[in-house]
Amino acid sequence: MKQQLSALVDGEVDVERCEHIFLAAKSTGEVAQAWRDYHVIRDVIRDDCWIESEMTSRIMARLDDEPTMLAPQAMAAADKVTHIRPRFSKYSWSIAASVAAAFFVGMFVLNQPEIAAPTQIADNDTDEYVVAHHNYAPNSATYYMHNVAYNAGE
Amino acid sequence: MPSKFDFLRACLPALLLAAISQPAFAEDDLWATMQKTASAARELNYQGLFIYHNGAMIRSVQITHIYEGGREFTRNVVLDGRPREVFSEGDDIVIFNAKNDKVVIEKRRGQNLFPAMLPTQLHPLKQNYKLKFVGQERIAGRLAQVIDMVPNDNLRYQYRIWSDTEFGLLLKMSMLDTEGHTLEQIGFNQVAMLHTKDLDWFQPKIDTSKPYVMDDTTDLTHTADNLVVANLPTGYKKVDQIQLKVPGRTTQVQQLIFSDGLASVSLFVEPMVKGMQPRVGKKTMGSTNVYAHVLNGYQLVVVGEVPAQTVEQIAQQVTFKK
Amino acid sequence: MLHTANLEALTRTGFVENNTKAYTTPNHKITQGSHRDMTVQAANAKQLENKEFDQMLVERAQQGDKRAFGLLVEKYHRKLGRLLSRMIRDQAEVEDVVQESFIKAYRALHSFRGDSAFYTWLYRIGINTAKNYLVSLGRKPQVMQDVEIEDVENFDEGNDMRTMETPETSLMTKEIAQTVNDAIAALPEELRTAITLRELEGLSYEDIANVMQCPIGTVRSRIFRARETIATKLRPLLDTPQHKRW
Repeated sequence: MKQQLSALVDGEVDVERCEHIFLAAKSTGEVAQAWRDYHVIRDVIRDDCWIESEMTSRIMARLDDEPTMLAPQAMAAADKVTHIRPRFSKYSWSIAASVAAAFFVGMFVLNQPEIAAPTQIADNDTDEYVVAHHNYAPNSATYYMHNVAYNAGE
Repeated sequence: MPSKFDFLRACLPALLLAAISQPAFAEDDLWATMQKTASAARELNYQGLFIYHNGAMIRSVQITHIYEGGREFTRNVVLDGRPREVFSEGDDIVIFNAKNDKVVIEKRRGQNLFPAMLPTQLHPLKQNYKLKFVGQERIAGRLAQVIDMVPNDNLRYQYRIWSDTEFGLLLKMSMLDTEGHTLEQIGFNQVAMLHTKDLDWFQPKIDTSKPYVMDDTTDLTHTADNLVVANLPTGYKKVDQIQLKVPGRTTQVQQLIFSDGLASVSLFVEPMVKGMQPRVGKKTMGSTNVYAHVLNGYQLVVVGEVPAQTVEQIAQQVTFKK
Repeated sequence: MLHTANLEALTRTGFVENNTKAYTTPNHKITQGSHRDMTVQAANAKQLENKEFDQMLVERAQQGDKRAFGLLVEKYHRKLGRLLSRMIRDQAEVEDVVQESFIKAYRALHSFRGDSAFYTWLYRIGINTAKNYLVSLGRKPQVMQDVEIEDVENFDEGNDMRTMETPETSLMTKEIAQTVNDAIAALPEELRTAITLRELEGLSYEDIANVMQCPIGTVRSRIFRARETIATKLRPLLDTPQHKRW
């Protein structure tokens, strides 16, 4: 993974493929150490080096006292968790638009003669719904089974 | 003119009632234990091994959890079956899932994973469940208080929790059907408190030589309401609504998630398109009930770890806003 | 090794949902022959600082992830210290101002929209903090002519800033610089060339592969091996007990 980190430091890894490197770099292990070392080496080579050995830990210690920030999207998430939704949000228009869209989709669909008569659900019909439920619904004890359902579908 | 004595006499029945309903006080204590249990799983540092049982399915999972600087760090390593690791930091969850020659990365948000199963906001639970003290039992070498969460109606299952008497950590939890049969169980085999804030372990162990790819089948756009479930089963509230892109489907599927604070139910809404076979009916798989239904040119599917009645009721209550 | 084609797939993942802006530009490499002019090279060098990853770190920090910000602190505090030490001579004072600048940056992070690179934005904050500091002491920020914002934009490219008067460096800095330079000198030829082309010339892996006439995978591994070899010498100096990670 350190080789991948080295490439990431050089901008030679796509950001969407770096989640594992990012996780490791934030921990306190070897990868995190390498993050520091590679940048020190770069700074020395470019003659940008100015060392104050405790700087990072001092800044991080002070940040601990800072309130954790909530960006607009994080606040939206918090909003979601507490189920508090403003009555009239700036999204009103898009809600209206999507309601209209859904309505028309419904109309078109109803007018399609090709829709077959419904049949009873059989054994595996609903598996993907069950998987999706376990994936995204909170508090699902069946979490550790997902891969079973995934594997079945492979 | 009412005397002081009259006033006292008027109070008498209430006082008597309070004396008789002694268990009500005990229940307050039990709710306090629940609160402690809900927080302990998030604020303690621990490492352990737990087993998850559902019907014939068994999975062992190794968990490490650290609370540091106001944030939670958890790593779950699923020890049986294919390598799978679940990392969570706060509400963000990243899953590394080994599949043949690659490692698939999935992202989730805000799941309550064992032992942090109880919500920190207990209010919704108080409205839907009564607590009953069962006794004490030893789990994973630790002494636990056993408490039953008995539902007020038959719209949800009964739960039993084992809470560590010393630290309040949730040691075990099971879900029982109306006849008292265990449907699902999750509990520690061994657990130890950690005395370190070291985060060296917070990185995937899954073969790093394999290519990592993001799972791109899902689109977690939180969407706005375009349909209503008029009368949700008592105690259930909508907690989220997302759009899913299901492989092989041209249209997106909406997923609405409802919860009573503990149990959760998903409602899937999918526009019917040409060639799609509509499905209706119901199905029970262990603790999971499924109900399918067609309405207004939409396929509706309701899935949840709740009694059949609950999924059916939700499916029947869907209407589309004009 | 670069999968720019996956951008579309990426935009479909939940991961990018909130971050679309940061990823609208894939990590294009400008691949031209050796006749490239300097502008192209500079643009290239900027790209190679991995602004995209910086932007990702900023977004994670904006969502409450302090450790993501910690990675930015680790990456930029030396450069910022170096920059500010041109304005403030006293080492201890520079330390305070660097620290203050990062705290200010963190507090203002929600207002950072990614219009400029993170380091440009950070250096501005640093320079303003230093100016205010000097003013508060009743000292006129004299070095201002030397260090202006335009310089900041180019600071990372290691241009003429390097030739400016170098302030006194600490013993530790000298020791570390010496160790790194010795380690580089002792590297096998192909490792030394690879790391030098990368760090000093700012070439992309693809360009280095062209220059050294070897596959890109080899470039990646040579640069990694060079870094690890140097880091092995460096670690005893950096891993003093008080330099434990936060």
